[in-house]
Amino acid sequence: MAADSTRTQTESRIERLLQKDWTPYLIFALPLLFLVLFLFWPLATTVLRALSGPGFDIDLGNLSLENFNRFVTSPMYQRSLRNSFVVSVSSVVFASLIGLPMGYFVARVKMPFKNLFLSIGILPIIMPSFIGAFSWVILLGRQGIIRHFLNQIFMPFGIVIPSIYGLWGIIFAMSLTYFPFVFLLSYGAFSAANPMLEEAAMMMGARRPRIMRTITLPLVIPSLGAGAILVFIRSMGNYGIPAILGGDQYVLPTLTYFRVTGFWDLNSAAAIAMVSVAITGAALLLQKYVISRREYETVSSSRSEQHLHTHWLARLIAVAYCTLVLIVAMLPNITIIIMSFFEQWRGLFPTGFTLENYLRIPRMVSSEIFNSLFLSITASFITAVLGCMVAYITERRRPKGAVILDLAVMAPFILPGIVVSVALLSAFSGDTVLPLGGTFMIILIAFVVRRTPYVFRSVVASLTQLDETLEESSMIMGANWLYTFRRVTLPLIMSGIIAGTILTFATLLQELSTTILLYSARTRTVPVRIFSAVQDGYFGQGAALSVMLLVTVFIVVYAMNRMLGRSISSSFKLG
Amino acid sequence: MLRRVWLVVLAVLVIAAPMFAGGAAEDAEPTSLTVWSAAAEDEADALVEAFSEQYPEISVDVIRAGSGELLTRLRAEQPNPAGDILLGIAKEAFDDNYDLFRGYVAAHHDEIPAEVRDDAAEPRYYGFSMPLQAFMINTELLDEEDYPRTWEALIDSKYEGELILANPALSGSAYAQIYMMHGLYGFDFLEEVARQAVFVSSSTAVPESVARGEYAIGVTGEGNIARYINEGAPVTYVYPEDGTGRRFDASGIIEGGPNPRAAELFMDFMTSEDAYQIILETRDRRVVHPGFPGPGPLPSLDEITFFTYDAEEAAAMRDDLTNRFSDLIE
Repeated sequence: MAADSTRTQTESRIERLLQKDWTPYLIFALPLLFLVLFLFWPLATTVLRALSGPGFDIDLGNLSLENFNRFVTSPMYQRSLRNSFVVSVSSVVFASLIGLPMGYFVARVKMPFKNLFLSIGILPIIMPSFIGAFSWVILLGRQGIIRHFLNQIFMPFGIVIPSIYGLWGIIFAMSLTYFPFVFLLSYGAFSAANPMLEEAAMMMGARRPRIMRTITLPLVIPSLGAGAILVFIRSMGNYGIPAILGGDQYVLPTLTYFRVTGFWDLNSAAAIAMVSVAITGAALLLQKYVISRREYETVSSSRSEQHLHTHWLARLIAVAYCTLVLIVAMLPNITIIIMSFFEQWRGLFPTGFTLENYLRIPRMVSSEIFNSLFLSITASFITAVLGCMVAYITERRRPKGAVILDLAVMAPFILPGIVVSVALLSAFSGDTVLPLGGTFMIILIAFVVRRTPYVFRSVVASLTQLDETLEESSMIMGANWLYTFRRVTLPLIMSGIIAGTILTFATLLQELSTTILLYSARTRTVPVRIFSAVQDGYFGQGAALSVMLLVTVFIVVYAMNRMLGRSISSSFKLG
Repeated sequence: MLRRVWLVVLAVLVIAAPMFAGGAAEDAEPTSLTVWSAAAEDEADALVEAFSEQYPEISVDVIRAGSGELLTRLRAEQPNPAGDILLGIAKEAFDDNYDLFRGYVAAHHDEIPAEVRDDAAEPRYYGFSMPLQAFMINTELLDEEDYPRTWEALIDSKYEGELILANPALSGSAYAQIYMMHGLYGFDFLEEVARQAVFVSSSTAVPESVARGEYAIGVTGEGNIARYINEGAPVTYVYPEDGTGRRFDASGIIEGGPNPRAAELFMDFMTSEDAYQIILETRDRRVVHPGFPGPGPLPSLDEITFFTYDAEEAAAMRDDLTNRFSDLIE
């Protein structure tokens, strides 16, 4: 009797367990396993290194804060910390000032070539390290060509354009490099915002500026926040621009670089990296706090068509503004294109016209081209799946510690590539359970853990703006979780996934800092060749290879926009 | 649309799967060799080509990166590094990472003077080239009578804002520059230099900036000056009359590398006159072998004043001097 009842109890418990929809848990187990294996490991070793005292070995018995001492004692460290902070915050401000209007214009004004603006708009981010910064010197250095001609024009009026060196030069170059994050993400939000809200306000008699301030802008805040945080992190981690344009204004990545190349002192480098992670973590929390104070539902169950501005003046201003911004921001890329047809560019003008830089490409780097494409495309797909799932977990399931998960996904993106690579190398090369040294796999893992944030952030932004009732109604109608996710959620956040994936692909194609430690003869990529060419003084050669990457990215993005056809406006629609 | 995306993902993964199978095959007979090189690409390629003519059965892979990255990689891959040879990094870097390299008496051991190799009975490194530090001067920005002739002259106020150096924390050669100035004129002198000059955080930026005319004077390795002179840039060299240090780059065998025998054959080759001829010609580097002239446009050793460079003292002071000096830079 008693046994019987226990059995029925057990049975009913099993039955309940079976009835429960386990699909989400099974589906989420895989990415979580990946995260634990490949993401928490680099993080954990970095923390231990930072606490282990200078050198290379992790010493668990002797943890201390010694590596952080220099932030207290050294004026150079304090100045660099301040510079990093000033540069990142200013870059966010200027990138937003440049990118937000552009996003609005392309989304809301009837204008030609939208497709083109969107495809070109991503290119400034693809600034190959060093060559990109050097091209600002060619343009605006003391002997720079643009500065030279501007000075000839303005000299009679007593105005002298200063050369680009210094903190302002760094901020200038970084804002123009990273504004596309704000442009592309806010574009998506502007075109996705539910027009009924604005129409309602208009019918109630509100004027345009008031609607802009109280309805339109608040609606794009999640996407603006996502863009701003990407700008912040990228400018925090950029080493090339300060190294070339900063003169002796140093930033945190400079210090990391000093510790690694000058002293092989990875532990102190890890400590410096931890400081960047802490600052970025604070910025991330601030961004979350600002966004979570409101509710955003730009995509809801009822929709109507977006009304575009058609007044000729609005159209003129919009086209003129977008063209101007893109031309200025593309100046380094244009410089690189010109440089690729010449032997060198040392005076005012380049000298020694040649096609040799291009003719050498096929016999020099054909396997590198394949490797670069293969690695970037594969990693982008994995990132898309992984980033989307983790975003769904943190946003919809909201487990305890979602903030920690969020920061853990973002951290490898903030950590210098060399730190992530070393963690992977010491875990997976030589005699380990999983020997991956020299394989494509280890580079793929590094790519994925370092780039997941693009898809993750853009899907989080999409989900924030997606009305949960859509998913709830599907469930109420009897659809299971998987069906709801496939047929309701996924189509609505697809554009966010695509935007994130494109950013991932574009930036991975030029990734160097991780690859340089992980590549073998079989897995060498194009950026490694660019690095070599620049190091050896063959700028034309490096430029030609960079142009190849630029063109590839442009074709992929343009094709993506075309393939999505009418939904072109949604390719960067981050909800 | 979605289904197509999934199909593409699947297809990519299936095609890619065999590529994940990794791991290099290890053979008793030397059939392969991996050279980690901080030397220039064309230099490493020329050396490997000449080596392959002698040993066509050994296939050589070259991994190129900066010396900081290569040493970091070497440490991270302990105890089973994937490289066999480390090519062309500063002697000081070998000394600091001495236990990562293996001693071997190379075939031409006796031809290489003890000052330009590891002086142990079984040297762990042999000299590659001598990157003497000199002044690189833009001839369009300065007249010849205005060239600085000594380290001491660098603090002349007429050079303010015209002087570019690499931060000493960046590399062994950049540190050697301030170590020499410190040895000659003391720390107060360094304070003056710090006020006067720009100390950048990219070593490539120094010669490139002088060649472009962004700055009039740079302190850099003489090999860079030779290269830009050969390319026709308006630059020239000045070797400081108060002396420059006799330092050298070296190559050595990585301890625990996958192809120990092939590595030894390569070191035999690297100490041969053939190899030094290639190093001299490809990049106009001053080689350590005593039988060779100065490189391309640069003067020979007897025309240069030397500073007695105490490598041990330099190494011992490095952390402290670099930190103190870096804090001066504003």
